[in-house]
Amino acid sequence: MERAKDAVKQLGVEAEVIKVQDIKTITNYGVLITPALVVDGVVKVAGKVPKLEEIKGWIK
Amino acid sequence: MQEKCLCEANEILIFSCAGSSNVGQIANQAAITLAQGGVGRYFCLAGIGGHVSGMIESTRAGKMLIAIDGCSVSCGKKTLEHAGFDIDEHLQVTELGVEKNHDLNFKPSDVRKVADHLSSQISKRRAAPSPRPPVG
Repeated sequence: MERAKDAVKQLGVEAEVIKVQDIKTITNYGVLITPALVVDGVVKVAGKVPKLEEIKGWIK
Repeated sequence: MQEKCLCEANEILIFSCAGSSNVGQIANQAAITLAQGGVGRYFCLAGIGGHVSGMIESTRAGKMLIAIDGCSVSCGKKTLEHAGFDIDEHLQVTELGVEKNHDLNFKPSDVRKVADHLSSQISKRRAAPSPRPPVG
């Protein structure tokens, strides 16, 4: 969560970062292993915390 | 020192074909039996075929992938491979002597045979060198 916020801040893009904990919402994305990161509705990673540079690459 | 597979049951992902034949349904029921027995996690093959990002990424996080197909057409294996995954353990139900037909009233004993076989294979792999590097 914090890393995603850092990525947004460093890139200077306008984006809302939300932490989702509701299991129904999580499984509606098809995510079966957490943590996961979703960018604009697409799951980019599941089961691990991605590196800052990876996150920046997904939200550029 | 040789690296050992430390796969926990929830990192062992089980996919089954669930095809429209007795053996497809046996494959699916065996996957459910294994999951309910705590051997691994039952995962959604259709989600892989549909390129659902959450399913794909969740599968990437798995440490051991198991594919159970009903017959030699191997749709489950091919679906996973098409999405870029390497399968650690693959079984066709027909390999265990079950003849394919289109009677969906399969025998529970055939499900047990498939589940027992895979449970044994998975146990062996859990004591074997790690099939892939850890996630992260």
